Amino acid sequence: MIMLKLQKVTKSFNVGTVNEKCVLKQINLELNDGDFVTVIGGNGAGKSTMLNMIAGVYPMDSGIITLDGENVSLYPEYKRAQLIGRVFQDPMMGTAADMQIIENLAIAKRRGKKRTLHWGVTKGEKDEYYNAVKELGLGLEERLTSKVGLLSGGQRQALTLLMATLNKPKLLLLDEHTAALDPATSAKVLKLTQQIIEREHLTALMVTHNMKDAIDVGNRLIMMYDGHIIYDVRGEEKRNLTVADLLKKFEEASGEEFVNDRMLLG
Amino acid sequence: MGFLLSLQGAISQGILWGIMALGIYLTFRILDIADMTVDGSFATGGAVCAISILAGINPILSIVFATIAGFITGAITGILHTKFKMPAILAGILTQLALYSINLRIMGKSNIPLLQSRTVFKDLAQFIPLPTVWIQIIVGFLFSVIVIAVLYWFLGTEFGSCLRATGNNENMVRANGVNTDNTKLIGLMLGNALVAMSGALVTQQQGVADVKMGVGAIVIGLASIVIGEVIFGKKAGFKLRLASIVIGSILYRIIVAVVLQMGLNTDDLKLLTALIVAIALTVPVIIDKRKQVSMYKKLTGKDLNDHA
Repeated sequence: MIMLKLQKVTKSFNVGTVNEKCVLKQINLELNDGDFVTVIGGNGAGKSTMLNMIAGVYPMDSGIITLDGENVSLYPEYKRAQLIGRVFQDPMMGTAADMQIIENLAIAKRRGKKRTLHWGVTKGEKDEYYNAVKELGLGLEERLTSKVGLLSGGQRQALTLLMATLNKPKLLLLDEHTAALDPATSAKVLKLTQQIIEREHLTALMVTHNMKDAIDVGNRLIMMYDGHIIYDVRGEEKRNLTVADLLKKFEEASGEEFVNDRMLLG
Repeated sequence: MGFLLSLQGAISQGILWGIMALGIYLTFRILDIADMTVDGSFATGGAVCAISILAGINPILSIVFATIAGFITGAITGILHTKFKMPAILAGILTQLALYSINLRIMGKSNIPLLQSRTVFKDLAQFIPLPTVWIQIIVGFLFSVIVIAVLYWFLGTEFGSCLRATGNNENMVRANGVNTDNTKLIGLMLGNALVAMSGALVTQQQGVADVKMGVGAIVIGLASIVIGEVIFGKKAGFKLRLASIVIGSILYRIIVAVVLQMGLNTDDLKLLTALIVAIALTVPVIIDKRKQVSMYKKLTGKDLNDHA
């Protein structure tokens, strides 16, 4: 079953000026239900733009995006968010700092539901959140009434990940969500990501700059360059990939030497 | 004796203006929008209330009408800001300017005295053998308690949580499937409804509606909020925070009464108000800076001595 389908999705910025840049060039992509796809590519390749198009952060120029059979091309961001869970690169972006952990979770739990005048956090929810937060293994379950602003970047990112998946989304978008964390925390958040995606059988797109991560997690990998998807590999073939293979592939496609320290690290 | 009377007057004024400050708190602190509409919507509340009373409508019902008018003024600013993407400050200023003409149209003249007309306070004075100023204080207290209770409840609901989060991190709210245009619109409407309600009460208290009664209202509201914060701190529980705004509004009026008693020219009142807000916002910054420097000197000095 196809969960996400992009047909000829195109996006340009600064149209009509000397800085005009076509960032996505007629992208076609199909994700099956349960696909966990990692996305790699150099700076300006269009990875983040593609995720932002799917999430509806800004409107696309042309093309059709279908999510679970529903044409969402013209839906505003908040309406798509009712179907999509997101974690951002900036740990500050996914949570409300001046509100309690439990209040943040309660807002996320009601994704896709109408916000009524019932209490924002009911008594019954507290146990549920206690257990869910405990599974993150960060000791946050005893601090549910703490303000989120007191948490570290890694803790906030783990919390955002939990919030994005608390109410099972049709699609999970991860935009370099471990890039701003230190290596140990980054590894921990990535592991949590894998666990949650596997347990909930989620369909996910993960942008990363870390080639090793891109090979190690997920069942499919796509590489982007200059607004195109230049490489799409899955299953057995993906498992046998090495970082060297990817670099070679990139050179073939782009005709340039792929020099990017961040992509070689790890 | 004269001072005691003006003190009572200050308390009753402070309580009734406190409801306006609660409305400003909703937009300024919770939604993080400096809503300039209030200077206009405060007078709109007064204007609607005055012509309703003149038309023979019950004074309480007149307050309800004024509150509804406040909802509408907030909706106009809200729609300009959310649907038409104007910066919130500009949207508020436009509505405020338009309201000046609209308020004149509502009243038909720049000033409506209600000295011969019914008011909530005069009606109650017939049943309660207390001086009018005490009746004003009691009515103001009841209104404040009800408004604080409703705000406390509302901001704790699912929708209210999203409204609070909108002022905190709009991006997060949208990412969780909530239309932030709606939360901002409702917040601006509620805030201005409270401001207009306060305008109606103040009109009945002072026995006159004036097209200029709202000039500087936003700064007076901010003064009340910051005075409350300076005294009770920003970390107080939410109920106390809301109450501290009304208390801040009373203290503001007492400060004004005291300086007027000391011979300040009423023309200088707006300057004084601006100074109170400026000082109340400056002092915490200076104190923080001093604390940080003295802490640095203390810790560094000790450290250097230890290793010496």
